[in-house]
Amino acid sequence: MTPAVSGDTRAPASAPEAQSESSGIDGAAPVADSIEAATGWRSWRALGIQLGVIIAVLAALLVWLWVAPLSSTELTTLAPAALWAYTLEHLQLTLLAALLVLVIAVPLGIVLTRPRFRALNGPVLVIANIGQAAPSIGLLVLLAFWIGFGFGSAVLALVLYGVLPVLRNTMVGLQHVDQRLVEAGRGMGMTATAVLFKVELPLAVPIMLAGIRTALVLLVGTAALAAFINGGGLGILITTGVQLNLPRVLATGSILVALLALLFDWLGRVVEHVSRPKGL
Amino acid sequence: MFETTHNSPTPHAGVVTGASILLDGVTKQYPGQKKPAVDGLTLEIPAGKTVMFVGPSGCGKTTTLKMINRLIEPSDGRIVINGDDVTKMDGDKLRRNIGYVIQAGGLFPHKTVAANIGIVPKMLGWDAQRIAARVDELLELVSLDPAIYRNRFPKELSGGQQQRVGVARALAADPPVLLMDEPFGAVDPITRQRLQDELLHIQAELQKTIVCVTHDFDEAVKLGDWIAIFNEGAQLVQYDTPERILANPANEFVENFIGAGAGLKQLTLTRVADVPLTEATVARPGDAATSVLARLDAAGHQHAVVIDERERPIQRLSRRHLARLTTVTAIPDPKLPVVSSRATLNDALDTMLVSSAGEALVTGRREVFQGVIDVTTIMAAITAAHEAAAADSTDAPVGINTTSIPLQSPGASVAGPVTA
Repeated sequence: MTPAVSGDTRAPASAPEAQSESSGIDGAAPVADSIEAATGWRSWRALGIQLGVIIAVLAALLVWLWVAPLSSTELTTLAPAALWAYTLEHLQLTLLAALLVLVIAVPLGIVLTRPRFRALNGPVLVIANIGQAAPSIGLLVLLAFWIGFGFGSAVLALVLYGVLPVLRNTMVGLQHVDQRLVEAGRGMGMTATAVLFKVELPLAVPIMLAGIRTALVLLVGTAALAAFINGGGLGILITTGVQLNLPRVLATGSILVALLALLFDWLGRVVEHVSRPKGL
Repeated sequence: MFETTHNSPTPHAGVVTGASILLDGVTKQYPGQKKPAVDGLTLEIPAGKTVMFVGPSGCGKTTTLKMINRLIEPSDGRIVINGDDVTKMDGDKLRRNIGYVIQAGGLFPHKTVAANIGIVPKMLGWDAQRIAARVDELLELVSLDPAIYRNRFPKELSGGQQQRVGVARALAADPPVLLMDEPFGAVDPITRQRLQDELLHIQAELQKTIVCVTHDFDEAVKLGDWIAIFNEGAQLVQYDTPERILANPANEFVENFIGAGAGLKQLTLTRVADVPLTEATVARPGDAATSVLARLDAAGHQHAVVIDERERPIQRLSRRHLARLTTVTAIPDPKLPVVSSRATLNDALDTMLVSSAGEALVTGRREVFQGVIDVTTIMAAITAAHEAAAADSTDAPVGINTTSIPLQSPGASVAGPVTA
């Protein structure tokens, strides 16, 4: 699976090619191979660096919390058990919202790109883009006034916010698939469903995953605002820090949210890297 | 493994495996458009033949092609393949039995060559072993080494190789009919010529029914047993053999479409092997120059052809050159006008003109010298082709538009008064 291995297995294949009658034409293939292997290795290295930075910053934060002279209020708010509970709550918010986003946005994106609904593509993308530009805090507070404060409305607001990038990238990813490939598939007698699952979706995966990663990072960040409507999460540290003028609490909350977002970004990149269809 | 190969319906060389196709009053009317894209077209496509659809872009030739496998559903009319009306059958099942080749191959980039070729057999429920054997067989057929290419991804292939895999994929389940939509439009001219030659060889072996859309009239002449020339609205202007279209274009529209040099294009229809070759005086390195000159006098030839120990021509010596020599030399001449017996008369004439020799040396298998072809032979072949084209014109398959609309092209409307 690793690029290094795939590069190795193809290398012997390119050697006898020199004797093949049409070797002159495909001299580029081994070059493309080595480029692919090199970029693969480079992106793995970048991923390693990203993870290393996340771990280092987290370690530095914990060490700093350990040695810093904290007041008693700060000590209660930043107690390990409390921090862990806020983090778990934050993860809950994010993951539940992300799951709902996937369940809603991916099928919706697929349906909207079918020929029958193609006329709706333009309007939906316009609405998606406008929604993306709306300030998240406003959306959150308005929703809370409408359906009540708490975890539920926080999740709902997050879902509304996260659906947009996933929906948009699912649609764009599917639209980007060369229509001639769809026609080739249908021309060979593949059903429309088979073409969707065996040709269109595999080829749309890189763009779709990029959208899902964007949504996850957005959700982690936006979930910090849930504290404003009593939705819990690491945002509590930030609001507490602001209201009680405790800069150390504020900083800890902000850094933890940022690290969590970076971690999700890293996870998304790993998945993208591993599930990128071979041959692209 | 080989048992499996033989169990598959592999055709034997020279046996027609194609099916006849009949388009019966086929019409395609797109909603919201005034004129139908294809208007009441009736066309007979004989089994085992290659029929080329040519015409200006937007004339409905591709629409017609796609109605044969019902990628585009006809609004009216019937499609009959091998006597069976397929107009109402399940389109996906129909298409699994019709090969389909598009420009640039249309290979799935995320699947290997083998997986691409195996798509239709897999849908038809073949077991893995049989599919693997068939993939190797087809890669051999399109001149790609299976060991090298089967596990490659399309992006690791050149354009020409992708197109070959596209043809192999279309042939995978051994369908009787092959539809090709501008198959060689995306490759460079040299590769295109090689792919065309290969398709001719494959077709000579398999004898499928091939329907091929092209905008290149020369390609149609080269590949087609029959050529259907369309004008706007898929109006069939002429449906005949390449020879007869070149010799007797139906009207000015066809003449314009053929373009300049119809006579030269006829030369691409005949291969060197099909015309009688002229004898030549042959010499070998080391022969005495005087004895060669004597033989030239006896035969009335102006040049002697020097061949090596494997009978390959290496040099062509004039009388004047020989007179200066004592023994025949063995210096290979890189500019020697040599053509293969499989080359067309067009290639032969081109070789003659480039070398300004007035004749070309013909070689057969393993480049063995066979004889000489000269300009008079080519002239005779053109005359014979003209006579043959004029003589038989009764075996043509049916091709008409049941609803006739006056031709749109200005050329056609002018043609009436001028020829009358």
